[in-house]
Amino acid sequence: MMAQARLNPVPIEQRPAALLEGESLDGGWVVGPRLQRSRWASGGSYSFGYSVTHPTWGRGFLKALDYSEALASDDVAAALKRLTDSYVYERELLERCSKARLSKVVMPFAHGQVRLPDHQIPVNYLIFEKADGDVREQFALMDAFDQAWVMRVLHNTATGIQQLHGEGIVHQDVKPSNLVTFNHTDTTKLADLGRGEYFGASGPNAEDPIAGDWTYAPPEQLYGFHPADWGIRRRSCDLYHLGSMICFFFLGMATTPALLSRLNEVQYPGQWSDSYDAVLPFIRDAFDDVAAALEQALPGACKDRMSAAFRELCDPEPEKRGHPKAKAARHGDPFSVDRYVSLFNLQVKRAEHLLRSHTE
Amino acid sequence: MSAGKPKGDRDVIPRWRNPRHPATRFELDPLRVEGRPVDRTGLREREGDWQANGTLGFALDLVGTAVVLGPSQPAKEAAKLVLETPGTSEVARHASRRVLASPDHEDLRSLSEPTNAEVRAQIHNLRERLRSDPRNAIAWAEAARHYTILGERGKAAGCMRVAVGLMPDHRYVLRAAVRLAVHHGEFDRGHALVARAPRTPTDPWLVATELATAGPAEARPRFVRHGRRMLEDVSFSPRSMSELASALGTFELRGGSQRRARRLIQDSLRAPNDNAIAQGQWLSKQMPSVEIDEILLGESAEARAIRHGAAMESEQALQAAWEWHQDQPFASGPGELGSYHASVAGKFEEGVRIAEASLKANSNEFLLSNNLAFCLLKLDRANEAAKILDDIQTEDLDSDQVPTFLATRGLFEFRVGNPDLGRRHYRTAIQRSRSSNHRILAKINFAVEEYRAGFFEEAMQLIREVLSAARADSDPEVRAWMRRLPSPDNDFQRN
Repeated sequence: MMAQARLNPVPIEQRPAALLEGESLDGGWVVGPRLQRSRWASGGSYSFGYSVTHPTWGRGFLKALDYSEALASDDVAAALKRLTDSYVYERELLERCSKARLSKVVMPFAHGQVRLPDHQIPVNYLIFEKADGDVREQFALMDAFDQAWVMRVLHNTATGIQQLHGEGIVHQDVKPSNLVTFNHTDTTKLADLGRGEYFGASGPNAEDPIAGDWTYAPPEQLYGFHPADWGIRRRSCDLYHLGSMICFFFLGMATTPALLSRLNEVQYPGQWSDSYDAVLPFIRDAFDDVAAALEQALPGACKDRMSAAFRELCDPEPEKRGHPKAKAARHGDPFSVDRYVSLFNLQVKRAEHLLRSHTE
Repeated sequence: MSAGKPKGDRDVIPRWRNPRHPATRFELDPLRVEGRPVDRTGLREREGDWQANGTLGFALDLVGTAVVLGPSQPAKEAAKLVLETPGTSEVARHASRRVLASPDHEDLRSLSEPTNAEVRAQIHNLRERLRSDPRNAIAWAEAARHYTILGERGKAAGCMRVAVGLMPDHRYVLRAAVRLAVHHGEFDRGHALVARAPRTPTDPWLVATELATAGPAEARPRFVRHGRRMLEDVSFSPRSMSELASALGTFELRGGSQRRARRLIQDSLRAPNDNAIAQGQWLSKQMPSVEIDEILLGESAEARAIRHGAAMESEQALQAAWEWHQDQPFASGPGELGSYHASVAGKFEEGVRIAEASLKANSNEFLLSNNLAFCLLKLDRANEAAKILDDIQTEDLDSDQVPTFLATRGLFEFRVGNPDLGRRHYRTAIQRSRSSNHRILAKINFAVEEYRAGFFEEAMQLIREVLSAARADSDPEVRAWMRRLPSPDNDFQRN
């Protein structure tokens, strides 16, 4: 075998995926300015974001895949294969979602490929409906904390997960930056299927021990515990992320950092060499601390049910996640989110009723 | 005989603390520390978001990421914003302090030894928590520890049974359960628990516990050879091996192999926890070449108490005993040693306090009751002492304890105005003492009481006997007690 020298990646401003501004794409889309946070990473693949416009569809968001890192890697073929596989897989997932017209998942408008003059490598892209921002922006208005709004976001998130599960897809990367807001319809949707996977199928991310973002990953993934059962391994992850959003909205911190900040540093995932079972009692103890803090923070009317939902969704043991009735049902789906959709819907109605009674 | 001094062997029985206590940290370590690569891409993204937006939502997101992936300068700035913003949750503030690496004052306060009412409140909180999540083995073990501090043995045992049932193969839970069994005098049960656990052969902390409990359980240790092999395995961190080397060293010493024992004890002190330091200090009596330096001594209150106690530096020993008690409030050792040295130093009120504090969790410990009664009598609180002495189950006393008890009875009779009966008790105590030291100490206290009661002739006779016997005896303990003999410099009202 010949020795290979690792190349330095091309500077960002010279990468084709970073130079799409002003390009006209197939289907009438025109690429606008590159977005302020211009570079996203998802499972080792990088992309640039642009605002795009269309005479019929209006505004859109374009995600352009950046292959430059792969081209500079030790094994270019393997890195490129991984990137293109991921792209094709995500595109297929999105097409399926598009056909099903999922209301709480960000829908794709188009996809394609563009080759810039003077650049041999084409740029693959996906175009989505353009969001106005993500839910983190609402935290700037902490004083005017709006319980009804929070419950609506949780309801929308649970519905998005329910819709995806209904199509046989797990999301695996539910986090605040993927809960995007649409001002004109006053709603939120679930974005970014880059880490998504078909039920039971082996997608390009199937071998990744941590399916989504490390910050929001369920603890068992961070500690390298991979249940043999696919549902426990992957679907329970979506449930954990949903519960984690309750924690984020009411305590300002997602479940995983809230848990880890209560552990000794030697018990941190990067250092822990023992089994997940060995660290589990401490994780559970930290989890009970966080659950107790959440119970204190929740408004009186929804305290009991919401705090129970958090415990059910974020249980440190993945096989125990989910609604007890769903888990007890003989022929049901143990990881069903249906009951949480109903719960959050009820909480939205209660919060809105409360708001109305205060304003009247 | 005077106030009683703790005796007997010391074994490397595990400590039992709140798992969040800094001193417990090393016992919870993984056996091998791994530096697995962490993907910090998410951190850079959140830093970009935070720098672009600068509002609380983005700060919180970045702080969370920094907790998981490690801190950075922008994350620290975000953490400051979280802490400066009124109304942010305790959970978010805790995470922010973690990112800023600043101590969490609330946590540190909760780790110091609580009062009775605080212990009750903590049990209440733990019970509440267990109602919501009965699978929390740590909370069950903590409830057992708090009940143990209060001396509620049945409840402690019940809670620990649940903890072990939930996590029957977990290092922390097993070691806590063994410590509780030893506290309850169930040595064989404690030994069996750790000897049978499937994890034990792979975990040096548990092998150490098995070796340490085999002696008190009068069982043959199962893992001696295995433990020796483990010590040769360089993949374990030195800290994981300290208790194992200490337990094996103790085993070798008792088996008569001084040379091996010395080497093992020295190994145990390379990266020791406080338990191995205390064991090293304890064994240094028999192996003077084992030296515990001042830095190590600073890490173990028990080792300090042992060292100052052996040198009869009673005030320092008492101070260290208090620190040891704060750390292990259910242990009888700190109260026994502390009340003894309080008696030697004439600090009887402090002797009462430390004996009473230790009696909460050890109501049947003879030495604590005896020393409490001794200190109370020296303070002329005879009525309280009478109750303590009456409650002692004399039929359970061993042949060394009987003379101690009789001497204290003698002291009592002197203090309630029955010198004849007091004399009789003292004389019987002296007669039944098997150690010459004990006989001298009993005569010293006897002489003090005769003198105090105005029987100067009798007192002088006893003093002559003491001086004659002590002339050949340079024992620091005898010399320390002799300072309490009547003399022109001695304020007798304090005795």
